[in-house]
Amino acid sequence: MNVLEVKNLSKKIGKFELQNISFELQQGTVMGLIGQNGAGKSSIIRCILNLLKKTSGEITIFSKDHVQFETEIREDLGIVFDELHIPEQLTAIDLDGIYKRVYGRWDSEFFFSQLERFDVPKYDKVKTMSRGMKMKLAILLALSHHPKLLLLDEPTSGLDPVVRDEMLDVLLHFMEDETHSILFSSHITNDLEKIADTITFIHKGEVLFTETKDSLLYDYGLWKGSNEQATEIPTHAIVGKRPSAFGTELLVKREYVSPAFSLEKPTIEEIMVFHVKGG
Amino acid sequence: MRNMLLQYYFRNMGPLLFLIPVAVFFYIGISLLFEQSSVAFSSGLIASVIMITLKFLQLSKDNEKMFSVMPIPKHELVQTKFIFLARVTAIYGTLFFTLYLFMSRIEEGWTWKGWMSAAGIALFLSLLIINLLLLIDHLPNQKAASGLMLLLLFALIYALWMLPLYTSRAGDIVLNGSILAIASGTICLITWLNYRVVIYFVTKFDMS
Repeated sequence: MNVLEVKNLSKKIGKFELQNISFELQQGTVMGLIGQNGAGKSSIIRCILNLLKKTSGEITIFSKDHVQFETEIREDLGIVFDELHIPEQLTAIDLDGIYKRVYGRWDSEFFFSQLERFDVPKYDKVKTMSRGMKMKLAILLALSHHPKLLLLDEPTSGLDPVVRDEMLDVLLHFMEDETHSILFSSHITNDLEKIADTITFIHKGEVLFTETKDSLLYDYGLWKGSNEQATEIPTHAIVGKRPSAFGTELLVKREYVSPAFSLEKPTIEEIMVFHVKGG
Repeated sequence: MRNMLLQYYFRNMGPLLFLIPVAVFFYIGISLLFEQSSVAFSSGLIASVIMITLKFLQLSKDNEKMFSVMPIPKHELVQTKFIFLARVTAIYGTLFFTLYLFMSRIEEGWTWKGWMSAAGIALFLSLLIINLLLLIDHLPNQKAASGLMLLLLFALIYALWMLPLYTSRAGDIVLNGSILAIASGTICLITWLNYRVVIYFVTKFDMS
């Protein structure tokens, strides 16, 4: 069952344009939206949330139109943006007061227990908190009404590795319930390698590919060698190349390359970089 | 939901809403000592309106971000802003007009104009109290709004009636008085219209 379906989404924002974006997020899975800054990841999430009006296309969340059933759908959505969307003069206690009057399933007990677990102060104003603390608070706010789908827009950018790891733990815990799903936009691909099941790569407002993480990592190979040896690899197999200390580094599609060539397993970051830079 | 949003606005703007009048009172008090009441009054009014507007815009921006991703119908957010603005406008309209009348009464002494000013003070103070109660949601919305509208209508008529009395006088006080009377009357009118529009939409589209 798909919890989120985006079909032929188009949106023009000044000179930038999202063009025919299509992907599906299955229940119980984590999808990573990757791409450079300005590729269109945030715009897609804003279109999904109807914060940006789409020019054309169809978006359904839990099989319901995202505009027609907007209020109803949001009861089951947890949303975290890269910057904190909370007035900074409030405390966690104030926020609990607001959220419990908005969300029907708000769980104050869970919220306060998680604040304690992650050492987020209850009585401090948001503006006095560090960025890591703020983001932990944002994640806990997004989780405490027990949503079924989390939409995360660059939640880990600017965080130190320890806090990022803590946040990923929270998300992994959330995914223990198989009815839960996450759409996670990030350009920090390490995070996605840890938790994503599928990867959708956005580049210049278009979807370059949507693949499961495992097949993505299997389909591509990283070859390193001299410039002369590189000429023996068929050009249609080469996705991207860059100079290295040995001569050349190539990202290739395994299926088109002879097994005689020794290929390393690339990281998602390498796949992204080679795709963007091309040949 | 609307009550929660209104309380939220009030809570976040509350200190500023009360600090500004206090500051203005002090400012007017000091200026009175130097017999500059009308100048102090005009500048106090303008400064307050600017500060409140800026604070409201900033609060609105913060709110947009938080509430826009919550399960709150968009029209509720728009309405709440509208109602809150109407209430704040009403409070400031009445507060400043009361102040103005108070100063007129001092100048006029216990002549018939002085008595009219005193009556005006009573009327506007009652409006001010009602508005404050409305702002902190101690009155049921619809009934209080209806009562408030009626009072505002009286206030508007009163303001318009008072205007020629002051414009007939000579000197700076006439000019300032006229401007302030027109400004206060306009504020009352806008507030009243705001309520009419809000209530029209609430009733017509069953948004209550």
